[in-house]
Amino acid sequence: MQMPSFNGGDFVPYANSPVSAGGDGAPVVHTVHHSMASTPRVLVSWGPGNTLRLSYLPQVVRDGDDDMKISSSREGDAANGQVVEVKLGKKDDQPLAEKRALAYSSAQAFALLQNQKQQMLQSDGGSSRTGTFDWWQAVLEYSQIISATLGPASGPPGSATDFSGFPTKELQASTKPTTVKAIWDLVEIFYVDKNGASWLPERLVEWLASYDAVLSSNTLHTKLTKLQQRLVNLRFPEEEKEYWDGVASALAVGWLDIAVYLLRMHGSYQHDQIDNRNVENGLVETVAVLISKMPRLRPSLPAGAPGQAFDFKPEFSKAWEKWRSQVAKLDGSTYWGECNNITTQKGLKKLLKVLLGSIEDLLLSTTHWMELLVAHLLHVQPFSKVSEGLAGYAVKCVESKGDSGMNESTSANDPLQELTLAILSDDTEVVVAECTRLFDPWLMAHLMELLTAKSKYAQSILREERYALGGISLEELNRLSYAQVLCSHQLTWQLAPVYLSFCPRQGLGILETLLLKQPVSTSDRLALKVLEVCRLYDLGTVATTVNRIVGVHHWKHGRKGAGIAWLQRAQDDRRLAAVADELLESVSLGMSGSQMETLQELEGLVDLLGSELHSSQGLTFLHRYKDFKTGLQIIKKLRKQETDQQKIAEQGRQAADFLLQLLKPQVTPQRFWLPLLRDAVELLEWPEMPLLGIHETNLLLSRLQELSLAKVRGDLEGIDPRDLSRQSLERIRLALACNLGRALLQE
Amino acid sequence: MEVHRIPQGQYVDGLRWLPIPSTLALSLWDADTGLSTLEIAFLQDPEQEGQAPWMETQASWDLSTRTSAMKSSSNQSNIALALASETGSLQVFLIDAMNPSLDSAPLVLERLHKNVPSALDIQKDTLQCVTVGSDGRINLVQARQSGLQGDCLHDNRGVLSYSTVCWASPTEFVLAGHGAGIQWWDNRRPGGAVAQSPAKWVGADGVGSIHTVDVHQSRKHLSVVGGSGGTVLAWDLRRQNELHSLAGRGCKSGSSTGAEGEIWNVKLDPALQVGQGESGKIPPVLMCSEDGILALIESGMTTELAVESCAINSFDVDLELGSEIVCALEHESVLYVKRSS
Repeated sequence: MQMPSFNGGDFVPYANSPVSAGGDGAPVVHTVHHSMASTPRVLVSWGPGNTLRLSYLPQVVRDGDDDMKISSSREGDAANGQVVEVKLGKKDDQPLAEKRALAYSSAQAFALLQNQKQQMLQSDGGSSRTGTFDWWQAVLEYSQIISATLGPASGPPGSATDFSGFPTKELQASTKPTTVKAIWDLVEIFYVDKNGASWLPERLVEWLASYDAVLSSNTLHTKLTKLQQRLVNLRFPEEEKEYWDGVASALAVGWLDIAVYLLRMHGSYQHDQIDNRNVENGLVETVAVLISKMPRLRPSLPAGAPGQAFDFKPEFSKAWEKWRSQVAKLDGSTYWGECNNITTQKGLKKLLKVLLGSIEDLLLSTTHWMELLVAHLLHVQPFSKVSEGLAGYAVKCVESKGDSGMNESTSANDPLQELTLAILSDDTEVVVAECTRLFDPWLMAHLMELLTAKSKYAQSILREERYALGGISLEELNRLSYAQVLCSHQLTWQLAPVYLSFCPRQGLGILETLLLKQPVSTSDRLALKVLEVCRLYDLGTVATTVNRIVGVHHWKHGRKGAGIAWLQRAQDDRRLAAVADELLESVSLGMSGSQMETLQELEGLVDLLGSELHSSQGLTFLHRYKDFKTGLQIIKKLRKQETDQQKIAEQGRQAADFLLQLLKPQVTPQRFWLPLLRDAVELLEWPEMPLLGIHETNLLLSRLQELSLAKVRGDLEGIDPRDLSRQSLERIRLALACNLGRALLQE
Repeated sequence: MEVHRIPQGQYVDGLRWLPIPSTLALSLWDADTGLSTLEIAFLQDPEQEGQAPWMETQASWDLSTRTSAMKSSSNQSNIALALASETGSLQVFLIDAMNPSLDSAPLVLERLHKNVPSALDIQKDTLQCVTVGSDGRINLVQARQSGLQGDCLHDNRGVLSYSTVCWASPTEFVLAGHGAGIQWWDNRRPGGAVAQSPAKWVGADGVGSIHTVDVHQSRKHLSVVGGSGGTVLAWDLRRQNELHSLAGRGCKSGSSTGAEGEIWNVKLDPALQVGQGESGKIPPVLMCSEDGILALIESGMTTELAVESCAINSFDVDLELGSEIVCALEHESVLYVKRSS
C-alpha cells in the first residue's frame, strides 16, 4: 500500500481503473441518503485494497417543527451525502488476477514449509546438526515450488529452450521473465542451496541465461535479440561486425549453444560457392568443436547442450588444462596463414581469446557488470566458491563497467544493482532493505524463509525481536504486512490466517480483527467461511460474536428462523430469551384464527428452541404453550367430529397437564397468566367431569389471587389493567369455584 | 483417476455440465472489474501424458449481477439454464442443443425474493423452476418460449429460511434450510409441507443448518442433505421421523475421515446408481466441502477423490456416464476430476 502524497496538484494520486465511472479516471461518487442533524461531517475511511473513501454528510437545518431545509446552497441532491471513492497508488503492470493466483499457490507452499519446520522442531529440538542439514533441503524444495509459480523457466534468445523455431518464432513479450523470479532464484543460489556452492560459476551462468533480459534495458540479451532479427536476411553474416561480436558475447557468458549455432551459420558452410573456403571452414568448425567440448564444472548438462560436465574437481581441473592447451595450440596454429578471409580470421581469434580468458576481450564482449562477472568466473576462475571474495570481484566488475558511461544514471538503468550486489556479498540487511523498497510485500514475506535457511547471521537479525518494531521481529513484521495486503481483498482474505498464524506476537490479534471486520451479515456463506477459519484456529469467542452478528441481523430483517438458528449457534441465551418473548407477544393474545396460524408456522421453531435450551425461561414457556394451545385446538376439532368420549377426555386431561406445567413457578411470565387462565375456562367447565383436582384448582386460584393483588399494588408489568376488568376476573373466578365444587364432590 | 486444476482468473459463482458432451456453463465474476458473465465453454481434454486440459469459451453473456445459484435442465426441444441473481431475480436461458450460443436475451422475472434467493431447481420435463430464499418464500416459475410466469406458492414471512431445494417429481420437491428439517412439498397442496423430518439430528451441537439437498432419480422417496460440521444425512420419506447419518460428527461409523467444514453440495452418484437397487441400502453419495474435500460416501466409508487447499464451493457430475466431475474452487479455478468408469 502506498501512502498518499501530493502529486502534481492532485489531492491524492489515484489510478484510473475500469470500474471508475465514465472510464475517464474520475473517481466513483456514491450518493447516500443520510444527513447530520447537527454539524456537517467529513469522514475518511479505508475501503478494500487501496481504496480510500471520503464521505461528506451535509447538515439538516430544522426550520420550525416539521419543515426541514438543508444548509447546503445547492438544491436537489443537497439532502444527500456523498461518498467519493479514490484508488490510491500507481497502477500496477501485473494483472491483479495473476497476483492473486500467485498468492493462492504460494500460501500453500508456505504453510507446508511452516508445518515441516514445526515438525522438525518437535522431533529433535531444532538445534541438532542433522536437523539444520535437512532444513535447507526443505527450504530448497519450497523455493523451487515458489519459483515455478513465478513463471516458466526461460533462456536467452536462441538458446536451446526456444531455439527450435528460430528464426520464424518471434520473441514474445509475455515470456519475459520477471524481476521477482530473478531475485528469488539468485537468493536461492546464495542463501539456500549448499550443493550449489561447489559449482557456483556455472550456477551463475545458468541464472544469467535466464534473467539477463531483466537486468537492464541494455544487455547481451537485447543485443542478441537484435542480431537474431538481422541474421534472417543475411547470407554471409561473417561480413558483419555484429555477428562476431554476438558470437564472442554468447561465448563470454557461457551460452555455448548459441555460440555454436551462430558459428554454423557462417557463410563458409554453404556449398554453392565459387571461392575456395575449405581452410576457413575448417577453422570455423574446429573452433565450434572446441567450444562444444568445453569442460564445465557442474553435475550435469541438459541433453544436447554443448560442453562436457565434470562433477569431480580434480578431473575437471585436468580436463580444463588439457582443453585450454588445445585452444592455445589452435591459436598458434599455422593454418591461420592459409585463411584468406581476414574478418573470419580476426573474429575466430577473438573467440579463442575469450576462451583463454583474456580480460580485455571479456570486458569488450559484455555490457552489464553481471555479465562481466559471470564471464570472469567462467573463463578465468572456474573454481570460485562463494566465500572466495566474490563480492570484491563484483564491485570491480561494476567499477569497470561503470566507466563506460553508465555512471550517472545507474539507478535508473540498473535498479537491481544494489540488490544483486548485496546478495552476492551476503549483505542481508541491504537485501532486506532493497527488497522492501523495490517489491511488494509478497516477496519479503516469502523470501524470509530463504534468507534464514542456513545463515546464522541472517537468522539472528531477522528473528531478533526489536523494540523499535513494537517487540516483533523483522520476519513477523513482513508476514504481518503481507497478511494485511491479503486481508484487503475479498478473494484473498482467507489466505491471511495462514501467515498470521505464524506470527507469534501480533498474529492472533490481527486475525481476530480481520475476522470481525468481514461483512458477515451480507451473506451466510461468507459468515460460514469466517466460522470455518475460527474452527481451524480455535477462535471460539470470535465465532460466538460472528454467530451473534448474523443472528441479530436475520432477526432484525424478519427472518425469524434463521435468526434463532444463528443465535443458538452463538449460544446467546440472553438474546434468545428476548427473541422468545417477542415471539410470545405475537401469539399470546387470545386464540383467534390468524394467531393460530402464526403459531403453526412457529411450530418448527418452537420445536427447535424448546428441547435444547431449558435455561431460557421464555423458550421453555413457548414450547409448552404451543403444546397447550395445540391441545385445545384438537379438543375443539374432536368435539365437532363427536368422536369417542374417552378420547376427548384423554385430550382434555393432557391439556390440563400442560396448563399446570405452564403455571408452575418460574415458567410463565406473569403477564401471560391472564390469557392462560382465560383459556383454562374451557377446561374448567368440562361438561363430562371435573378435569382438575382440588390441589390443581387451588393452584389456579392462587395465581388469580396474585394477579388481583398485583393490580391492587399497581405493579402489573406488561399487562393492561383494563384486561383485568372485574368482569373477566369474575368469569374466571366463577369457573374455578364451580370446578372446585365438582372436584370436592367427586373426591 | 485424474485431477486437474484449470485457473480462470475469475471467481466461479456456479458451474454446470450441459447435456452436450464436454460442455459446461460457468457463471464467472471478475473481482477486478466487478462484472459477471455467463459462459458456455468446451472442456478440451488432450488425454495425453503431461498435457493439462483447458477450456475454450464458446459463447458468453454479460450478467448484470452475480449469480447466487445456477441449475440446468433439458427437455426434447431445449436446454434451459436457470440462474438466480443476487438481486432476487430469476433468469432463464433457453439454449439450442445443436448450436449452443448465448445470443438472445434471457427470460427474466424480477423481484422474486426480498433477499438473495438461496436456491433454485428446474424440472426436467416441464421446465418449471422452483426458487426458495431466506425470506421464506417458495416461488414456482414456468419457463416458456414466450416468457416466465411466476407464482408464489407459499410465503412464511421469514419464519423459516430456506437454503436449498430439489425437484423429486413434476409436482413434488424437497427443501431444507434454517430452523426446519427437511420438508417434502407438493405444489398441489400449497398450505404447507406434506412431510417433515425432525429438525435435529444426533451429534449436531446447537442447530445444524442444511446447505444442499439431492433426491434419488428413481427412488424419489430417498433424499440426501449436506450441512454444517461435515454432516451428510439421508432421509427416507417412508420413515419420516428418522434421519440417517452418513458422515459428520453424528456418524457412528468410526472409519469416517470425511470433511469437518460445511458441506456445500451433495449428489447421489449417478455413475453408481444403476444396478444397485437394494432398497435397504443408501446408494453412494458425492459431496464437497469448505475444507476442500471432494469425496464419495459409500456404505459408511468415505473415499476422498480430491483434497484441495481451498474450499470446494460446488460441483457437478456429467450427465452421461457420471465419470467426469467439475468443481468450483474458492481460488478462482475449476477442478476437473476424471474417474475411471
